[in-house]
Amino acid sequence: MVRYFLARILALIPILIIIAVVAFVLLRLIPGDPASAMLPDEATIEEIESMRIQLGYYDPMYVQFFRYVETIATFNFGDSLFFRIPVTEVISMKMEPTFFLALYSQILAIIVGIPVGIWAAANRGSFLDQLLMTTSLVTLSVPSFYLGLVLMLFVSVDLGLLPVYGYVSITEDPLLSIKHLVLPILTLGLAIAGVIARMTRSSILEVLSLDYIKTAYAKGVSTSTILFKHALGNAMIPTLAIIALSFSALLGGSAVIEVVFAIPGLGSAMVDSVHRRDYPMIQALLILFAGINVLIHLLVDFIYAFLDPRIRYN
Amino acid sequence: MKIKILSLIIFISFTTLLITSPYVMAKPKGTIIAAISGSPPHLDIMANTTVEMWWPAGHVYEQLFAWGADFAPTPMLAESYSVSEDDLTWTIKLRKGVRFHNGEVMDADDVLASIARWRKVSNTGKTWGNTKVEKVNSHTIQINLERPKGTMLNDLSQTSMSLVILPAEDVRGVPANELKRFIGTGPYQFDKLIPDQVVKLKSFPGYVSRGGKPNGLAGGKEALIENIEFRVIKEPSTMLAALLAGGIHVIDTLQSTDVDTVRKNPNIKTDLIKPRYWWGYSFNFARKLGANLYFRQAVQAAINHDEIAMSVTGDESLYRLDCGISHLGTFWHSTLGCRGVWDVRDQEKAKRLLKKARYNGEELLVIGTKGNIFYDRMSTVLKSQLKAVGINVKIDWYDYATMRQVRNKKDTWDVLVGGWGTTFDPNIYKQAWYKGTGRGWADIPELSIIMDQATEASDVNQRKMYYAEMNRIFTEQIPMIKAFDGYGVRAYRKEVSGYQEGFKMTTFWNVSLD
Repeated sequence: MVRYFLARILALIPILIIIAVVAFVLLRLIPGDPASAMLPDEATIEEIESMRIQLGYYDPMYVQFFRYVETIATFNFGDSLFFRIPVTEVISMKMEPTFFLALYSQILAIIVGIPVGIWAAANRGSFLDQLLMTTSLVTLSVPSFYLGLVLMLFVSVDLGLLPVYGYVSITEDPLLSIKHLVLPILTLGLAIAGVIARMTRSSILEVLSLDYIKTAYAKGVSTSTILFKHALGNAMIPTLAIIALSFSALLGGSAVIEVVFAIPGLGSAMVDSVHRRDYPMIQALLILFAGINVLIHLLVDFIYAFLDPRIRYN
Repeated sequence: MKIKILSLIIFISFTTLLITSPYVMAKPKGTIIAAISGSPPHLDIMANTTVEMWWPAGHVYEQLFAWGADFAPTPMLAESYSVSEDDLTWTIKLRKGVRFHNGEVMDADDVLASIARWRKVSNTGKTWGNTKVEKVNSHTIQINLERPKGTMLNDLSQTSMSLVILPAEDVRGVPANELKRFIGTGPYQFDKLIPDQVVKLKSFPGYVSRGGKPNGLAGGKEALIENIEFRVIKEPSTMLAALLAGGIHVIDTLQSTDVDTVRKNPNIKTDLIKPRYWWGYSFNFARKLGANLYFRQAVQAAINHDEIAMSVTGDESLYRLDCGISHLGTFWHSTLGCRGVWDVRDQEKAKRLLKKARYNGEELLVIGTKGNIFYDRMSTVLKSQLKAVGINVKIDWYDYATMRQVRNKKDTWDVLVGGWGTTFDPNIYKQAWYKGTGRGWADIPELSIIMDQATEASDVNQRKMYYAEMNRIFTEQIPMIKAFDGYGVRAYRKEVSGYQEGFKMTTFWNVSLD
């Protein structure tokens, strides 16, 4: 087991290397260059050329690649071409909003999604089941930017209950920080809750059809005991995968929601960096997102083994 | 008794001082929040042109001369100036006692160092060539030219890549975009910049106002508000919601689709900026179709300006049709050469001109950009209008960043959508249509000669005549077709007062919150 986990951790290295190479190649394939994006509209063609030379745009590809590898190997991703400060500094500023937005949204999704899924499964075929599943389908189908804007107009503009936009650090004012995040969390959390609810319901129903559950019913075990003691643990494994996937996606930044609510997080940073052709920022963000993704999946593997003793890795 | 008299004298003196002193200011209070659509990376306005950067930077820095409300260059950090009889020597006296935000007093050394850097990092500064700038004394400088320069005050007051005055030690040898501190002499000082989130300014207690009435970017300035926050909000719907909910106080440019909503809200005031920009279509002279005058004339004859303007503004009250490339209402405005050529909407004439141009259905490549209402709709409407006269238009769609690269290549486009903000001085058009150096590579000798003549003419009426002539050549030779003048609508919460109505730039000095 330990050997397996060590092997998995070591396997991360080639994965991250492949991602780094792909990031480098993809960036050079897309049209547009940082010099044109950085300089003002009035910049002359000569000035743009001069900036390209200054940025090493015309250096041979292998020279650019080794320069890039050096920055990764030293965890110094260089300076942002746009902000002229270290990329790590810009990213560290943007991690907090994304982390808390992801965390709170995920908590909301779990708190709402799992009970709804269990409830729907326990009342399979009933009106309540249909109502809950239809609602969950609606929440996951409505585009998040639309839901966000509707909530913003109703809750913030019409009722004046919450701030419209922006982010306040939790260290600055915890209450205000949460107030700023309520609407984005609702927007993201409800959509994920819908997915979790549907997955939980179908997993439970699948488990409930297994022989050992039928045996339990035959032995006269109560429905609630069967549901929570015998079925839920096994049914949670696929749900856990959904939770892990959605959490890693959230940590990768919810670009649309961050833009709609003007939250300066990693998702909107990625979008902005692409528009600005800020290569060092894009590369660092891609590697960060990939790293988060891979680590979360590794963690899920660990949790699988913990939840289901039958799962063994060789 | 003596004590009573002494007290009375002190009281009267103090009261008199309070009433008469022009520099006694009320304590600034409150925080005004403005929305900006993009984050400035820093405040090095000498080397940059974006509105996002100018807006905060315009409150932090000041220039020797600044645009007045009437678009005239007006002394700001300069006390006065004089020009020699041969127009080759400009002597500028500086105001005394002006303080930087670091407490130091501005003098000629700071001005010389700032000019030296500006000449290296700004487009206009680079055109100064062999001009010599010298210190006469601690508060006087002299600019010695090789040839007369009618645009001198324009150069010194322009807001894009502007000659702002910074402490000498901050600018000496510092390349573009590498400023480490943002210290100026303005009524507000730099506080904090959080990337993609906010730029914060705070009032500068040591500000020395020039005095006098507010006058555009010049005149008396007073920081009545303690803090200014420029909050980055990229989504226009969010900006509007924040304004309606009171989360921000100002939107500099409302989307035309939001104007009605805002005008109906009793908590919001709107301010029409008339005009704010003009938009049109540039031709690429490096390609066959763009280089053909008959073809350019055919396009000019074919288009319907109202249709184009409505596609972007959606409201007749938000645009006007005027052929002058210098805005109507400014000193330089002229419509010379426009009659019978511009806004004719004559498809038959267009077809005749296409025959003369020997047009055989070749593809006309237009660059389009989704996500930008001007680039998107203007290219789409142009396509449908030109199709009606038989021109085969193909729109190549790019994202904005890619478009900015593609448009610099000679072989990638024939027509490009473009715009100009309200231009204080027509000299700015040299960037576009001078000796084939601009984007579009239009080399029209007649146009370049008149631009040179206008640049050198010191007499303002003479220059005006040259610029009228420039308008005629522009309309006849058509390096670009002017489509329409667009207005801007600025929105304020009702508690904001003291702003300059109708002025192009949004400024917060002399503005207060009720």
